[in-house]
Amino acid sequence: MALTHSHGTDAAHGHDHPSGFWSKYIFSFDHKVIGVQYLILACIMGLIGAGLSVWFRTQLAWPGKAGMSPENYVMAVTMHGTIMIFFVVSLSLSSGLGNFCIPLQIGARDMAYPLLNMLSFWTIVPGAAIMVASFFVEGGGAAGGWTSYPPLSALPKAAPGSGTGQTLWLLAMAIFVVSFTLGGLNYVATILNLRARGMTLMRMPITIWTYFISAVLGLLSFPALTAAAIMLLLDRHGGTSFFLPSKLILSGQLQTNTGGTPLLFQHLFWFLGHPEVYILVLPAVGIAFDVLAANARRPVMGYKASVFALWAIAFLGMIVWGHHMFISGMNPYLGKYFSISTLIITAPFALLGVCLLGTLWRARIRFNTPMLFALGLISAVGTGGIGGLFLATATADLHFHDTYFVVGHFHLMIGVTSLMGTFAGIYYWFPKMFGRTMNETLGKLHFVGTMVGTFVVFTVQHFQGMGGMTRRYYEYVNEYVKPAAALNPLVTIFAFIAFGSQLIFLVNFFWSMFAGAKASKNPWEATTLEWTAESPAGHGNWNEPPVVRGDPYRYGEGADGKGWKLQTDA
Amino acid sequence: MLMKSDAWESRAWEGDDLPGGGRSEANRTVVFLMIAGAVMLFTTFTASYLVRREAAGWGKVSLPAICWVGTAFLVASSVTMELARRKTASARLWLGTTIGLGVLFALGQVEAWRQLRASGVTASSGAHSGFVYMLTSVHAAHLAAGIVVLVVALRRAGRGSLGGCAAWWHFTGAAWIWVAAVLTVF
Ligand code: HEM
Ligand SMILES: [Cu+2]
Repeated sequence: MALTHSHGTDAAHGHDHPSGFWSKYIFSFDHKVIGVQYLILACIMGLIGAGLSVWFRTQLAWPGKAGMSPENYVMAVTMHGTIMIFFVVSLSLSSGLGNFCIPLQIGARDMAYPLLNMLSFWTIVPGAAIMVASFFVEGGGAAGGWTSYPPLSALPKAAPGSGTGQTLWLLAMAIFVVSFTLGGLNYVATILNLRARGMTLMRMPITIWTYFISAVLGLLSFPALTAAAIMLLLDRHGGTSFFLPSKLILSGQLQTNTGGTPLLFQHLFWFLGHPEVYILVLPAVGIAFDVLAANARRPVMGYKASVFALWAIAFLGMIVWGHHMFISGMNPYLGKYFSISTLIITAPFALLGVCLLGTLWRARIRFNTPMLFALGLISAVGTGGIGGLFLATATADLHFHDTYFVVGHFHLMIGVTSLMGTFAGIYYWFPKMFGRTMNETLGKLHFVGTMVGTFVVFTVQHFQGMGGMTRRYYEYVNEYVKPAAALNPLVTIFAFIAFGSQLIFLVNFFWSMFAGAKASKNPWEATTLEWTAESPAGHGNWNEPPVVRGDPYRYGEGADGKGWKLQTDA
Repeated sequence: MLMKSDAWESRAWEGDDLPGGGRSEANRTVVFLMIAGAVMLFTTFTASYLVRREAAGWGKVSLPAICWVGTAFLVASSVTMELARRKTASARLWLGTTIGLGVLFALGQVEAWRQLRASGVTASSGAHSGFVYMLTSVHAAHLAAGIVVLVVALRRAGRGSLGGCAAWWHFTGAAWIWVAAVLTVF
């Protein structure tokens, strides 16, 4: 199979071949197996996270009919946000597809550190388990929001979920950060150092650029969260006052803390938080580029411009965090700075959008499932980005902050965009994963349900926000907000449609794994390196190291009317 | 470092003629990234320190004198680390000395904590003392990681370069000076 030296034989290197169920599927070193493991874990966590949203959407649409207390409600939104961002989107898009396609697309036989890679996965499993277990402790899961601002998160007695639930939340997040950081080290080392012969940086598919950039972003921004978490833990359990202000009164009792500043936590959190949203959205855009090029049969328009735009977004993404805090209290000049720097980000974003759309210019598009999701992604980035423009304007944000306008905005971005990219990637690489294709009819159904469901939910939420509907409320009882809240049943019904469509995906995913139509080596007639490996590729990916001889998107090249060329072709 | 078996080190796959320099460069990349991440961590703590000191309940304390002895140990250990890296013949000796100096520093640190406690300074007795315990402990964790790496390197001395270990070790030394300076000057 794969790992033989040019002079070796299978027998001589028999110990490289994973044999037996445990080493092949459970504690595998193979990046492809690990990638699929992440995807499956993300599916499980996705059911839990999305299930929570079904629960609280029911409450919002038909107050009192969901069997949910106000405490349950804040816990459910907190845990929904945390699970979705860190245990679904991160695990499926970054860790799952990233693991699967990085070595395949750059021509390496595995990650730079396969054992570390396996350990990263088996670190995150207990992390996920602890996060889920925190529902069942006394007081329930954390309820201070996915941002876990102190004092709610810092005083164990502040609210029901602030006790053991919050402690477990912090523990699970610490595990996540460790695992994700190890993964990021592996990604960067693999991409920088193990590219195949001929694979220069500017010949890498854009997907690889985005994984690279987002890993760098993660390595530079997660330490801020780590520092914040250490201080939060000390405030919780060590009696310090980093974030806890003087004169806090809890259940009629004056607390002993002096001089801490909750604002500091917000700065540290968002110093990670903003880059984190780009960490999750950039790879989705990268995948869309690959899928668009393959199905438009055209090279990516403006490859260099896109790479430049990605770096610009990453850099700017690290200096705009304050836009989440316009009304937390900051010097107006600082607010102006954060406002302007945030607005500047829309320039490279627009450039990316132009390149994405330009790739479609005059193309004869194949509308298969991966392509539909890639197109849906363009729509989601555009729509969500427009909301971003309003939010970035500090004066407008005074009104929009902490309303459903923000909820609509970030779900279109971090939710719909990232998941559209993930789905595009899964449908696209599924043949390489399992040697089979996913069912097209079910795939298209999944797409339509997702597209219609999510877009109705999140665009309508923008209007509800403008109508004054603040977020994280159990029930809307004030007169002024009634008109906006009247849209809640509609939103909830479409949320159910979006949720139901994901069940179609799950059925399709697991059914196709065993019973999908057999796929050839290169079913999409794509040009990048992974399509030169077998479907499914064995441990080690290729027998001989591949040699790259051209750009990643060689559509429209090639003789004999074939119209495309593999990256390895002369 | 973390390899599956020798067959994985096949030169045909990961030799240094790859455009990215191959496996030997990967270790360097990882060390560099870890230093970059740690710099961000200490920067975040420093920024938080500067913000927090403006507010009430700061209560500045000074580091026990033994910390300065420890500083001398760490500076010396950077010198011996360089000797280990350059003089392959006596690398083991110098590596051992470096580890010894690192352990001495750590012991000094424990003694410093003990003295602070004895004089009634705890993590919660004031905001500054909170930073003192936190920053010195975070630094100690980085140093401990360095010691573990050096012990591994000692066992396989002679094979492979010590560049990565040396870079990390110098970084922990620099980080200590940074931490001590922040805690004393501001
Ligand atoms: C065109 C670029 C973008 C701009 C100008 C922008 C602007 C903003 C602003 C100003 C806020 C704060 C609103 C408030 O809380 O009052 C915000 C919130 C948010 N944005 Fe964006 N954004 C952009 C793109 C993105 C992208 C690409 C993502 C994710 C992939 C994203 C995810 C989020 C999230 C998660 C939140 C809020 C989280 C929370 O409050 O819980 N944004 N955005
Ligand atoms: Cu942001």
